[in-house]
Amino acid sequence: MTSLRIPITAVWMLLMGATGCSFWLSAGDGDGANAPVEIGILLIAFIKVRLIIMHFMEMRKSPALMRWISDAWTILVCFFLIALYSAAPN
Amino acid sequence: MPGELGVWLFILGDMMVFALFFCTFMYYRGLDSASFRAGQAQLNRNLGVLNTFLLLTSSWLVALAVQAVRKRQADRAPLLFGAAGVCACGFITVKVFEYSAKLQAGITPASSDFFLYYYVFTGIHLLHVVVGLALLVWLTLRSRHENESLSELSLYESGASYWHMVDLLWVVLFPLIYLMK
Repeated sequence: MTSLRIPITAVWMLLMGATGCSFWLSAGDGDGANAPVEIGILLIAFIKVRLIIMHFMEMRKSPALMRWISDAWTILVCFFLIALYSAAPN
Repeated sequence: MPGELGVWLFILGDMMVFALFFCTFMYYRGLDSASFRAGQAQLNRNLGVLNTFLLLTSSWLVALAVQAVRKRQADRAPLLFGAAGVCACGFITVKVFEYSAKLQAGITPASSDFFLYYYVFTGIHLLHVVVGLALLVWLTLRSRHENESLSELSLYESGASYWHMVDLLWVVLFPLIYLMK
């Protein structure tokens, strides 16, 4: 996966907007656990993680091995959290 | 590659430990989701989202500060590192307020599994924030002396990378503990 060069301030605005979006999704969910909403909140968090890694930590300028390790961390942790959430009897 | 290899290895190790924390939390949440939801309902989400905004903003300021160091803008870099430090202080203040409100309400780590993980995981993260704040203060002071230190770019990049890691770990902890029902 490659990553475009996005101005740092635009990345910050995206991160703040995504945080507001997660908060709004969670508030709108009432007391019930709505699996697509909860998984959506988790996916938004990991999109934010990748934005921080690529643009703030500047991993997009790093050797391919480091980008590969950071992408593997992001994808695997997100996958395991979704799997654990989905496997639980809610 | 921005920063030092040793710092990246430390960051990777820390991220592995937190990955285990996240999965542990989600596993035990699955065993007793009703109790975890009840615990979460006692948290103040507004404080959680405020702290997320503070850390994201401090990370942005640090990223701008590193750009200023690269351009050898000795007037701008310390201001940006300093402003990031102010955001870190804000995060710590909010967290201390949050913990004290919970403790005053009689909610301790012994109250439930949810609160055990809440205190332990957010507490370990808070320690990272305190270490990061010390680092930000040091970088602020150091970046004021243009000719002496702005050439040590990897030092600034390494400090910044650590701070961004503290930010990204919170970006996962926040929805896990405060938002996901």
